[in-house]
Amino acid sequence: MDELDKILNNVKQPSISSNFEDRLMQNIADVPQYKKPTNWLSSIFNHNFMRVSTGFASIALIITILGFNDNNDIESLHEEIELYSYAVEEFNLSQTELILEYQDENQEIDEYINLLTNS
Amino acid sequence: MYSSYTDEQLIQKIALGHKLMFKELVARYKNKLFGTCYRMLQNAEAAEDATQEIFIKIWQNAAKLDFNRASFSTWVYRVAINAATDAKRKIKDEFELVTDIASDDADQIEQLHQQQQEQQIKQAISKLPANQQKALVLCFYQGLSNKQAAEILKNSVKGVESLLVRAKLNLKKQLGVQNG
Repeated sequence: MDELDKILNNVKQPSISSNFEDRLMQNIADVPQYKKPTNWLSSIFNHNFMRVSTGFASIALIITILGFNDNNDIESLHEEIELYSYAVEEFNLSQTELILEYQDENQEIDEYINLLTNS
Repeated sequence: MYSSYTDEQLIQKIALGHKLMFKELVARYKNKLFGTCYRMLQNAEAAEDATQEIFIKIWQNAAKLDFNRASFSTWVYRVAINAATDAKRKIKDEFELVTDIASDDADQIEQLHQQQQEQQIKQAISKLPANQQKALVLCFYQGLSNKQAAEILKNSVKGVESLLVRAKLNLKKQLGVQNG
């Protein structure tokens, strides 16, 4: 250690106050913490609304693929209603949920829902 | 109690609001950070305020901290250096040499002489260019390696070595110490 080091070491560092931690804990008491937002995709799909929407979209897709039937074709309609019921069960949706969610959305689908609820 | 946790593990828990983990982190770093701020500011009160600010920021932003690029230790020393630099800009140079010796008591004279010398050294350190002062505080007073200081200051190891040499030459010149 040279002379300069000895001189520099002569300057003592004061101790930190004994109440430093107490003051700090008081100070942070009212400080809100930043919270990372949860993954937006999973949070959206965990939401009931999106669960219902996704279920409904899947049902609508099945119906679209099969094509709408003439109301007179009762046999075919029954098949679709069965398929629709299966989809409702599969996606764990209540008919009320579907009705509430989509009754104003699509008249044709409303008719299906009516048929379903009346069947 | 939580001594087995790494700094990074503590930060993860702190982000979830664990105050005991925060206390553990404070216990680990309060003296190091206070020491760094004190050597930069040469003022205990200002150094404590700066240290409080650093810990409050850690508490507030723990969830944002990402240690993929640097360890917590490197990051927190960098924050301390920056906090002290900011605080220093706000503080006027309050050093005044003690020139009045009111008593002829030998012990008091010795004490005053000691105080006077300390203030001269503090003044000399505070007059160093900012980067030289930072390197001196980290390597000489905090005992960090040149490599650690280089990471903290975002400089090369050679760069830090050069800063230290120049800092010491400057201090020797200011304090009238012979090279040797």
